[in-house]
Amino acid sequence: MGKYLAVFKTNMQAALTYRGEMTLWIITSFLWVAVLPFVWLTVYGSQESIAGFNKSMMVTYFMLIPVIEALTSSWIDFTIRDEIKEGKINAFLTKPMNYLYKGFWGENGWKASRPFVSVLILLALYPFIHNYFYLTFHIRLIWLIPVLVVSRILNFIISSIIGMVAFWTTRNNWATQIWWAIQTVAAGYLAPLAFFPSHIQKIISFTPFPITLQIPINIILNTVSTDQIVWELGKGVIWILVLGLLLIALWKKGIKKTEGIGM
Amino acid sequence: MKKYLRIYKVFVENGISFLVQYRHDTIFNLFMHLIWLGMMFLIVEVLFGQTNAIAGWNKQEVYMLTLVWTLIGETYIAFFGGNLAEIPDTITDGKLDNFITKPVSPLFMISTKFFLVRATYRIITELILIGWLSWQFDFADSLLSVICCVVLILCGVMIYYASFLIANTFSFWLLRIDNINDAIDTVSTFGRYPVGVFPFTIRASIFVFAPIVFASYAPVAVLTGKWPIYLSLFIIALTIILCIIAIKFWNFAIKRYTSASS
Repeated sequence: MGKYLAVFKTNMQAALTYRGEMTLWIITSFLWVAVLPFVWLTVYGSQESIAGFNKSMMVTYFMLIPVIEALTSSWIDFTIRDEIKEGKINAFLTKPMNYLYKGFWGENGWKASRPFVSVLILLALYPFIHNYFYLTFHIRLIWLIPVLVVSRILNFIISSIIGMVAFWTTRNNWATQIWWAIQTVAAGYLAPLAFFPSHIQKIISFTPFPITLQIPINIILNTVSTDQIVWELGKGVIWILVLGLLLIALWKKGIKKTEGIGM
Repeated sequence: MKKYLRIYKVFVENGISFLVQYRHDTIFNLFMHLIWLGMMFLIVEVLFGQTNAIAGWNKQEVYMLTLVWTLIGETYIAFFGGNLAEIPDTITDGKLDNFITKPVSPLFMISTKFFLVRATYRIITELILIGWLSWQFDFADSLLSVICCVVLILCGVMIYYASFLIANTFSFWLLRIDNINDAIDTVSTFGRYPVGVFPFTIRASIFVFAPIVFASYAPVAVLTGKWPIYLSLFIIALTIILCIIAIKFWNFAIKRYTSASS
């Protein structure tokens, strides 16, 4: 475990070295959702509530997206893809550490300071949005930590699977684009899932995406029951097991296939 | 001028060669583009499932706005997109020296060196959808509004170019800001929605500091009669001013550039 902690610390130091780049990423994640509260407030008009969300909850929903994303998102597919294409992955095969564990803890180190900066930005925006900010303290908030852990691990596994495609093709941006296109809708980036037609909600409910963003935010907004949280957690753990096995299988097949040229 | 046209012809030929090498990639990219369009249309449907109008724009007009926004973005990507995004790496890796030592404008070379041919398939898709939507719902007030819309779409592409050029020129002084392109791209997504959703002060601030947001709004607003036609002249003037500022800023940066090594 000590070696993974060292990877964590090294990546955290690297992220803090390039503070400007990191801050720009976080500001971009806020900008991405900045227009949506205005659009939805216009849609609401004189309506007090739509699909169980009042205006304050809608604004808070979008303001929480960058914070939850900072905690749980994973972009390890880019790193894995580049390391496979450039042959750098071969250097890790000879090291006494698991490549995927190294990737997980490395990315955690890289992202360690992002949640704090996201919260600072949210606090800076608070004077402008306090009339629309909705936050209550309730007992179900204790479920937030296990849900965020499951969400983080699930995002990492899915992102790693996408990165593994590079073992078989050098042109694999399409895999990232498909994942992002589906996730943008199915995780609730554009609107709470309750706003989608019921047949689309039903399809999405079978996917692993709701727990990656929608469920943590719903817990904070207190729009989800304990039974639903437990159900989603159980579903998340099953998806981790299924996708985790797929990831291991892809890794083993990919490693057999890979060849280092000019190493 | 003939020299530059000859050089650009070579760049386009290189782009076609690249396309031929990655034929399946091109087809798949077109398929992915349709998925993205479908996703954007889905969110329009979700919004209009709750209301009949957003800031005075009905569903068909918002669809048109989405398509024009996509068209302008894809046209920019075809001609300039991948090139400007490489400026930060070009400077930090010392590759800029290859451009400034040649007997042509380095800005021309850097801006146009790769023409993304497969973006033209996506442009054609957008034009077909825009044509169908226009025919179905008869948006245009007059032929003049259609002509102004086309001119403003071209202005939109140049506003994109100027905005990205200004942002990337900062990499002469700042290291590791290649994600500035993602930030500008994100701001441009504001243009997918009617800007009337913003309060007046925010709208005015966006017009001054992020005119890229108006790049797609202006053509559709003029086409549908939401903006009077004479406002097109302001957008054309804004485009010219922005391009002049971008080029002057680039020239200012180039004059102060010293290579560490190449």
